[in-house]
Amino acid sequence: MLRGRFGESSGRPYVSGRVYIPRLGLAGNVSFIFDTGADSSVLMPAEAVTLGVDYALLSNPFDSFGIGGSAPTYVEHARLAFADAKGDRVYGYDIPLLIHHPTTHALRVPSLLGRDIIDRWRVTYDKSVSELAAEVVSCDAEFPV
Amino acid sequence: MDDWLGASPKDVAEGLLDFARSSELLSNDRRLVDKYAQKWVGVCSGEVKAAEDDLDSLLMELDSRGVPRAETVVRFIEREQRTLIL
Repeated sequence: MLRGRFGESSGRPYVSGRVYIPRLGLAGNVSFIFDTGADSSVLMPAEAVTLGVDYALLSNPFDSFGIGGSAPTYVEHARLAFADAKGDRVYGYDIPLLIHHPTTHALRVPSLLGRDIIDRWRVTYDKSVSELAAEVVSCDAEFPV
Repeated sequence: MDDWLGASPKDVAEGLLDFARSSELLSNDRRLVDKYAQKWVGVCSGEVKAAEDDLDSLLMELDSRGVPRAETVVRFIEREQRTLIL
């Protein structure tokens, strides 16, 4: 079982995952907003810069659309990993990860965990008892610890 | 296995659980909001390692202290929570 959390002041739902981008040789942990409205998972600028993403190495941006309008977005092959709450199993997902262009307004927006991952989980979302939990229905790789 | 994840499953699991604890601290400790309002902060292993006015300065400070960015929760602490519509 994977466990997420709700922010105390914001009430926003978060899930921690590890991002590994093989082409760029970068990896790091990210606190994602759990976003069923996002078609794909997105690495936002603050986390991208923190992990050391060099935007000069990204190419072929396309326009993605959100409530704030459109923004240049890049795609990188990535592997996302999530740990079981007991730390005895790791689940991996091989996905095209979107990386948002570093605009000023996007700098404080958290990264998004989208339906490319969420659709593969069976989720309990109960804010009244602060429970955000997910049972993994499918994954691309599974590792015992 | 290490190839697929870019690290051993044990390191990934331990790193994620520690990271989740740091994230929780950042979310749940209201004193941090008062102390670091309008600052970028970096939290690692359950401790605030650095706080700066902008992200670049924070990352430089983390690097100079040898705090691993990949295991650090980096966030801007807002005094007044903005409404976020994604």
